[in-house]
Amino acid sequence: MNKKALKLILFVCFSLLIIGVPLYTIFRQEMLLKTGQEFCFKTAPIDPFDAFRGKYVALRLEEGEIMKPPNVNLKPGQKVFAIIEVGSDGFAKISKASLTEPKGSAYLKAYVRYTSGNKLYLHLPIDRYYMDENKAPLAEKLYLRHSSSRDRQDAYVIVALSKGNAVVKKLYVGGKPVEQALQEEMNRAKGERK
Amino acid sequence: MDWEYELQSIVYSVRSPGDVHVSRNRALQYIIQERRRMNTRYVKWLYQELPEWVSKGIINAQNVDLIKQYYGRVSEGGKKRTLVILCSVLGALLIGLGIASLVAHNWDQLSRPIRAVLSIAPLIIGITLMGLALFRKEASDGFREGASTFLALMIGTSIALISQTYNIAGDPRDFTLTWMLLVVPLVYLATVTLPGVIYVIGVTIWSLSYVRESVAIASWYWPLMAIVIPHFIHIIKQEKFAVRATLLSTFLAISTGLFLTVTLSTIFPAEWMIFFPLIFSVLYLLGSYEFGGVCVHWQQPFFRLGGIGIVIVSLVLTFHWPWRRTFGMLFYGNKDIFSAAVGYIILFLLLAAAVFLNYISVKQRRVNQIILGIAPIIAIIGYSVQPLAMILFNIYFFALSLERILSGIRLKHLRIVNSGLLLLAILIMVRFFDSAINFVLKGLVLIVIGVGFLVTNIILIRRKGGE
Repeated sequence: MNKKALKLILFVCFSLLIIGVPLYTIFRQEMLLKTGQEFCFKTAPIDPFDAFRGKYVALRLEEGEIMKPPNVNLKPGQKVFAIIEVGSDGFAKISKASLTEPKGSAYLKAYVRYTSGNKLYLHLPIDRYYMDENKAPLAEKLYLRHSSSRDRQDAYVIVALSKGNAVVKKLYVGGKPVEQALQEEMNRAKGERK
Repeated sequence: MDWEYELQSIVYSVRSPGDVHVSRNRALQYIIQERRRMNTRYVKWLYQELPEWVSKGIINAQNVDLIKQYYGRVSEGGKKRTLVILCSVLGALLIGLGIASLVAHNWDQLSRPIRAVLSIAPLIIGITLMGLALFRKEASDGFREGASTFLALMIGTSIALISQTYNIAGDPRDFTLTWMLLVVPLVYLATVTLPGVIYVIGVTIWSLSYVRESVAIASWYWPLMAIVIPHFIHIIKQEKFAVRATLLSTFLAISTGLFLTVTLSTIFPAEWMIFFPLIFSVLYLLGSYEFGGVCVHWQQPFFRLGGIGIVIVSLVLTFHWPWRRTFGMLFYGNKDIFSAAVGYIILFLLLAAAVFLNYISVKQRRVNQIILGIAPIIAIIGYSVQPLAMILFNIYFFALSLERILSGIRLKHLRIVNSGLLLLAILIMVRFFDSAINFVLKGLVLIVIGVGFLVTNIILIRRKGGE
């Protein structure tokens, strides 16, 4: 085999690799969106300064902290399986964490952030919602308004889950998709200016 | 112009063996030995000087023919090639940014499937350009470098766009590592250097982000860096890659220095005054070591970074505050056993390298290298006898500046003399501003230093002009 032919083969393999990786990601996420089980997670009160990082809204779920399993020594960064149950209010809750992959129940692959006393704080793979950064300031205000006070906490995310993997489908504030709520807010602000 | 001074300048600029007394014949012999490694501009300069040398009787016409036969034709290619590469890369970057801006403007209105397709589009364009660069006969080095840089950037852009489209959570560090591992094959596929530079920067950022959290993960820096070393060795062997070798070498020097200083400071936070001089002295001596009897262009970044690092650290160590705390033996504090082991291994290897390279300098009697190379020894002595450490470093810094001044006078090299005077002036100024001396005296001292500068320069210039 001459040098040119070898180079061509290597180039084709390399091209397939660099296209294959993103294509696989797209395929996996699309399958999750189409076939994954949907759950609603409530968002927790957040630090106003942390709410919006550039192009995305930083999400913090209420279910990021749970009771630590007894007699188990967990280290930061350790992988765990967060088992999910749906409460009577229709919102998903993480009931407990397991070191082995559970069978028969929905779960999320998560990582230990830290433990404090008998509490376990998890890093969940649901931490951001991308938006147009030009709409950032208004989106941030909306999200804060619906997340920061306990009596008006009506922001939640719809997540599709399958075999521990998750994809965020939509962020809702005040019962509406954030994009729709944002558009209404912008129209109201325009009306007030006139 | 004085031909002996010019030859000595050439010899000095490529760092000849310590003693710079050079006879005419020995200078010519040395230049001929440099053939494979000298930069084109030196050969061009030599060719320009040959007629004058013949007219002055330094060499005869036969010597001229022999020299030209040996060096061959001097091509104008070097600068032009670099310019073409730079323009290609800049063009690629601007086009990439422009496309990204156009897409970003309408991104929000696009549906998810369209966004997914557009996320792959930059890759398709990059692969097409890369294919043209690799397989078209008329494709130049510049086009190859530009196309590969564009593709390297589009790989990262594509991953980022997909993450945005599907709100994929993730550690930016994982994204960086994935991106870099996808970029590095380009370096070998196309024999290009700029993606290698991107790779070095990316791996450095990735590993530095882990140092404080996990030395075990951060230690992957070494095998990851080793991936790009075969390419580095390939380009330093060929004169036509001189600019690219120097560029990659610059980033390798900065990356290695940064990683070593951060890692050792993390593992042994109280002993930085030993590690910093040790790391910079090894870099400096590596940059000065004559591989095959001569120093080469890719060593310049190591030489400069190491030299500057030693000077700055030595200046800092002339102050009292670094030595204020009392220290015990080298310890690893509350770090785990693995981190401590890594720290000790790195330390041992650095010490071994420093001892070996210093031994070579002593054997070859290179005063300028010895004086910079012994900085870690001074630091270790200072660490052991702490009340005297500050005084020791003040004496050392003074010796450094004096060596520069004397070398410059001996070589009749104004730049070296002035650099020595500058170091001396900085030392005097910091000591004076450090102490409780009145303004009048401080002012007088500054005037004396300034006069010293001027007088030395005038004497040197007159000496050179007189000869």
